[in-house]
This record gives sequence, structure tokens and C-alpha cells, in this order.
Amino acid sequence: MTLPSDSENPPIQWRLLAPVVGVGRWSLEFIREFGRVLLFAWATLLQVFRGPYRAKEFFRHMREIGFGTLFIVVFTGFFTGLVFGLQTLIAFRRFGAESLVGPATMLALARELAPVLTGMMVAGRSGSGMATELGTMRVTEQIDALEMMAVSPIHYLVVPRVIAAMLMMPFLCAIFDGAGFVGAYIMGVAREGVDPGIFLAETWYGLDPPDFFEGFIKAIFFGGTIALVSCYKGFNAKGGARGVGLAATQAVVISSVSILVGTYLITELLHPFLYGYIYFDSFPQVQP
Amino acid sequence: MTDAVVEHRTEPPLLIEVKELKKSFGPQQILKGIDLQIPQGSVCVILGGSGMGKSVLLKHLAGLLKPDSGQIMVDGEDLVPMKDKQLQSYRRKIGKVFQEGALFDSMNIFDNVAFPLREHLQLTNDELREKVAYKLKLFSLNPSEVGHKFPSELSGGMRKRVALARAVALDPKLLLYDEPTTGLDPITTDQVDQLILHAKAELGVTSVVISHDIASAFHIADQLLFIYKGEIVVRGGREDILNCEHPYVHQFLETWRQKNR
Repeated sequence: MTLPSDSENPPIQWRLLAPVVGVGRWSLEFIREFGRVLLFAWATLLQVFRGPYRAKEFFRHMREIGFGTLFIVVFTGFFTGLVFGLQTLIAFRRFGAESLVGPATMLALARELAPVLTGMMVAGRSGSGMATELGTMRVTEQIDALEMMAVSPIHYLVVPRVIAAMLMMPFLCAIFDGAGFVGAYIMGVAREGVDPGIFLAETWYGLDPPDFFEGFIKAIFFGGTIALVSCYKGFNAKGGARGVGLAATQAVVISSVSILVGTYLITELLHPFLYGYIYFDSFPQVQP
Repeated sequence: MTDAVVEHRTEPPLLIEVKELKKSFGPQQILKGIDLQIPQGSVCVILGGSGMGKSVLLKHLAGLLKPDSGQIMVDGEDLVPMKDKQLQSYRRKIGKVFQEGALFDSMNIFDNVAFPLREHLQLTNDELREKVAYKLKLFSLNPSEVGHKFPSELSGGMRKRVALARAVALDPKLLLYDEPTTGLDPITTDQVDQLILHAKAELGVTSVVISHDIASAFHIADQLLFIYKGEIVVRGGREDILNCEHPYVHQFLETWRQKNR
């Protein structure tokens, strides 16, 4: 849309309105882009149940996403557990509740930190990889070649990646939980001298299976979001190496922001289902 | 009357017939009523400068773009009203050779040529190997020598050969070439020309080539078209192009002559 502010010498009132016009344009473009991503997701969903099923491609991406990010997930998980344990210790020491470091850390990890940080790691490593690979395929006409060979690029390139990411994310999230627990244990037991039995018992009684389910459900959603956004950005890359680089950067940024917004929305939506008893005022009292 | 009938019989039937093809992107009209007839087994070269609508026309023939109006008949089928699924099965009958080859760089040469066969035919491993070897040999490639190599390990000319072998893997009736000689040295350009003629002679395939390489076009074409701003300004043989009075074609040819002097 052309407005008077676009002319070379716009009238003063339009010059003053330029920031508003800018925000309006940006908002419109944001909504359009969001719609295009949703259409892309819909096109992917339509192809999911269509044959042929590409087991080889699917396992290749599972290996790439799973094994590729395993090390950084363990590393991040361990240090998150360690530092979260340390911060919680400092706070809990004031109340003499050092023994609660285990459940406090694990609650935060299982519900929130594990899926979010695993998502960030997967977005940074696999998401950028997907956007770069598909972007390069786009600018070197390999995606057009697929279409010319009567092979749906979405079926061949996007579906295996999205499903592999959705399947691998909960496993990575569980590994993050495990690594985080080791970190928190070292902090609580080895450094602060909490009795190992008490530490384990508090953690065991302080957490319920829904705490972990919440994290896994989030991880599945984040896996799908990362793969979809990254494939979308790669699919629409243009303009050579610079375009591919831009697609990879945008894929990571948008995935990361979506994870942070998504985790809030999912938490709001899930809590009545997972922890209904809280809302119905029958919270089981933990016996010390 | 009898003469007319005899003459009609000797002409090969048309594989492609395009009528009044129009296409716009936003306010810009790219194709302004293209009419085109290409007989079976011939090589048609579409000449023209960059941004004149050649690629858009080729994409219409591949069924990758829908026209605003007009008709595109290929092998007796009208592409315009086709749905996605019909277009997919139509594309199995055509092959496209991309400017840079567009070989899958994550696969070796064997898998590249085998890809369309694996996707669309139910072949045993032996049949597949045999078929891929046959297609590679058609373009003077040794399967045991290049089969395991990756596209990045081959020269530009070799990659073009592999791209051609992959394009003809499913025995297409129509081959589309997107500027096949752009950016190649004169010897490789000549090799690519020979390959196009070879594909025509060996497989009887109809070829549509878009190009701005006049020398190469004169070498391979049965029919030449010159597109300027979405319209065909001249069509025919080499002489028709050389004698064309259109100012842009004239300038195009003059520049080419000066460069080759």
C-alpha cells in the first residue's frame, strides 16, 4: 500500500506519522508471515499420513537431532542443575530448608527449564542446520528439482524433520532432567552436606508424574515449532549465501521467541488438566 | 486437396500448443499473449534477454505456474485446469535440466539418477542398477567411475551430464532446459549442445531450451523464438532471426557479432 508518507517529500503531518505507519506496516507483515507459517504447518499436516513413508530419512533426522544435540543438552542440563541448586541453596539457607534444594530444582527443571533450554539448544543447533540445508537447496534449485520430479518437497523434506523433532525432544528433555538432577545432587549433597537419603526422599515426594508430563508435552510442541519454523524459513530463502544465512538466523530467533511465548501459553492451558486438584482445592499435603 | 493431405501427414504431430498465454505478477504483465507450437521430437530454443519472460514461460510448460488466461496443451492434455495431483502425474512425463544442474549434493551420483526411479517405479536393486548405468552411459559417463562420487567432486560439464541423465531417468516425452550453457567455457558449451542433440537423436525426446547464447541456439534449434517484454517478436529458423528488423533483436545480434568478431 502506498501512502503519502512514501513520496519523496511528504507533507509535514505524514512525516510526523511516519513511526505509526512503520509500526502498522510491521504489524501487518507480522500477521501475514504468521498466517503463512500456519498455512505451511497445515500443508505439512496434510502430508503426514500420506505414503510413501520415508523411514530412512526419518531415522537420519532422528539421529541428527537426537545425537547431534545430546552432548550440549547434557552439558547445559548439568550446569543448569548446578547453578539452580546453588541459587536455591542461598535462598533456602535463610529458612534452614537446605534439604528442599532437590525438589525445588527438579520442579523448575521438569516443568519449565528442561523443555525451554532443550528447545533453545535444538533450535540453535538443529533448527539453524535445517534452515541452512533447506535454504541452500532452495537457492541451488534442488527444491524445484524435487517438484519437477513429481515429488512433494514438503513430504520429502519437511515431514520427516518435523516428526523426528517432535519425537526426539521429549527424550532430550528427559536427559536434561537427569543431567540437571546430577547437578543439583552434587550441589546439595556434596557441597552443602545434605544427607543423601533426605535429598532423594524430598525429591521423590516433592515431585509428581504430571510435573514431568508438563515438560514432555511442552518439548513435543517445541520440537514441532522449531522444525516447522526452520523448514519454513529455509524453504523461503532467497538471494544466495546471504539469504541462506538470514534464514538460519531468523529460524533460531523466531524459534526461541516462540518457545518462550509458547511455554507460557501451554502452562496456562495445561495446568487445569494436569494439576486439577490444585484448582479443586484438594492439594495432597506432603508429609515431612 | 491430395497434396495438402500428404503435406499434413509428413509433419510430425504437435507435442506442445500454447494459445494466448497471459500472466501478470501484480501490476506487471510478464507474458502478453504467447502463441507457441512445438512438434514432437524437435528442439525449440526460446531466446531473449534477462527478465523478458523466458523462465516464466518455461515454468508454465512445467506446470509450476498457472496462467491468468490462455491454454497450454501438452501431449493432448490441457494443463490449465489441472489440479495438483494431475500436475504431479503430468510432471512424471517431463524432465528439466537446471542451469546449475540442481543435483542433490547430499547424495552420490548413483543415488541422484536413481532418485526419480525409486520414487515412482517399483524396481528391484538389480533393475535399478542396470537402469541407472544405462542412463549414465547414454551421456558417456562410466557408472563404476562416477557412481560413488558426489556432485561437488565433478566438473561443470560432468555435472551437466549427470543432470541430463537424471532428467531422462523416467523416459520423459519433453525435456526443458533452463539456460544450459550459461557460465560454461566454449568447449563445455559445445559438449552440452551435443548432449541436447544426442538426447533428441537417441531418445526422440522433444526439447525446449531457454537461452541467451545465440551461437549455441543456432547450432541446436529446429525452431527459434525471440521473446521481448513478454511477446514473441520473431520466430522461425536461423535466417529469420538474422534478418529480423525488430530494434531489440537487432541490437542483441549486433552486440553478439561485435563480441565474436
